[in-house]
Amino acid sequence: MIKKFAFFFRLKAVIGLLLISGSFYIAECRAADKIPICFYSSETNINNFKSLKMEFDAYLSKFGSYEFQPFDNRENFEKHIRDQKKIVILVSGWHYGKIRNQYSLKPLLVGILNGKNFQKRILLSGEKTPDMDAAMKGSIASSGNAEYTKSILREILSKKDAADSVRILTVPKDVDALMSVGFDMAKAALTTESAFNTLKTLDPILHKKLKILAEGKESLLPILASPQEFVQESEKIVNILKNMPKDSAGMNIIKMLDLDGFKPFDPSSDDSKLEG
Amino acid sequence: MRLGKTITLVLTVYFLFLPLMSFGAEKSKILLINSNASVEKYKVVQDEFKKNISVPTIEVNLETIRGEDIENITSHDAKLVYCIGSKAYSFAVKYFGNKEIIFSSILNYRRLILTPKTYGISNEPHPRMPAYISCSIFPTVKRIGMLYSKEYTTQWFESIRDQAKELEIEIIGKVVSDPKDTEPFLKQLLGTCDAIWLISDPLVVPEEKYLLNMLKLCDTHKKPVFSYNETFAELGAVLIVSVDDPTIGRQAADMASGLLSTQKNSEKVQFPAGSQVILNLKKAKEYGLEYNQNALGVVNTIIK
Repeated sequence: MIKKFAFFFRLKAVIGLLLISGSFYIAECRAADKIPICFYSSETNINNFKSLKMEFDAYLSKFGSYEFQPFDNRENFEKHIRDQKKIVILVSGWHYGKIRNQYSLKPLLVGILNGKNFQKRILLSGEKTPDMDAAMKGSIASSGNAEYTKSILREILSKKDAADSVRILTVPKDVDALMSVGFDMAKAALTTESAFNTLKTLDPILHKKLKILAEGKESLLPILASPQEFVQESEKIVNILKNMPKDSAGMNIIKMLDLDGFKPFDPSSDDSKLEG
Repeated sequence: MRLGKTITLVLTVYFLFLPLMSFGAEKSKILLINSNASVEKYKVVQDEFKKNISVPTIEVNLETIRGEDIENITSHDAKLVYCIGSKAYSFAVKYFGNKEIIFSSILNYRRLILTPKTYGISNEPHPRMPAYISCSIFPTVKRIGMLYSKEYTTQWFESIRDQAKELEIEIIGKVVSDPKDTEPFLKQLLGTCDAIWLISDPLVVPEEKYLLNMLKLCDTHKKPVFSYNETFAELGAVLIVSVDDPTIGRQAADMASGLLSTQKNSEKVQFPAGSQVILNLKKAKEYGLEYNQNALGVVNTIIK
């Protein structure tokens, strides 16, 4: 009797263990099957990751097994995408230019804002900062990370070494950079022409107080790309993202990225705007 | 030939004095005093400060020091003291009053004793910022009601009223001198305003029950509540514009770098340069409030 009980107890334990390990295996497989959309922006210090991830994951789950993975650090982002073959990435045009060869990437889509797929960076100063020399004596507010900001400053400043010695104040958003220069938290702000135009519409008085010290060249908005060998398989997710602005829920998410939508990357016109 | 001699001389002098120059830089230490490093808000600021400063920094957590440690702390010949929180600032003024002091993360800094060498970052956003975010997300909100008291928040009210005016938003204020006036005055504002701006004023909101009552009244009238206090979002406020703590740490590091390199700031106390925006879209939709989809890029957290 005791032997019979011990046998059944052992059998139950084995079945239990098998079931538990099986469920772990299934969960693991499901997670592994999910196609990640890895996002990192060096240009805007987007820190609404929690909301972005929740919104993207909920939206994309209607179409298949996808996962939005935002990163707040370039090093971690690149460490993560290294050696991953089944992946799509969403990065700033500037960052894409830096890593496209290293990771054998192919551009698939490019962001659009106000009908354009490119932007122009501008360096602004406030009323108390008359010229570039005065601006370089204080800090420059920018929503991009320090590496990105210095790289753009090197491009737009006539005194190249000034870009390396100037102090950078990283702020969360373009609007913070604009307010910082407008209200003396910084001597200058590196922002985009589009953000400056929005300020003109909403706050013409502050807009009038700021002046453009220097302008950069046209550069592409965020780029969606994948490793060369995953281009065909990424067609479905490319279409999903392209069609997102067609419904209100999708458009709200795209707007959180400060974009209006995406359009296919056109090498004939877009290649010349790639940096790096 | 002569040029070669000059270059040799310059290089010799440079390498001879290089160790002394490095020693000078090493001495440019910062003493960082945190009122309580276990408070998350303070910890974030401290971490971000350290990431963004290249000068050697000594860190002190006031919460864990004992009486005998004070002598050790005061013996540091720091060039500059950075204080996080009001307790740290009082400590710095007491023991390092002759040094340059930077403060941050202090509510209502105006009540502090500021030395001629005090610099800092206030804990309230520039009043233009919430007004700008409001008109950017809710362009139809043109009249905003605000309850304030003469004792605590007149300055804040006047400042936001003037800033909002430039954005064509009218701020309608009601002075509260007794908490029992809060409800009737709020009811009057609800009848004439598109939204209510709730500020932390101990006379207007002396206890939580007053706050909950005000939020309930606004909800009944389907009027959105705006605030700069993050906790209000969970209680039903529609728009929160608060300061971004990591940016405060970076800004303090920037200010310290400027002071150590003798680049003084034009403003001794600056407004925070970064903001955090929470939008309660669920409530906005419930109230039938029109929102500008194009402005969602400025929002950090959306509540649905």
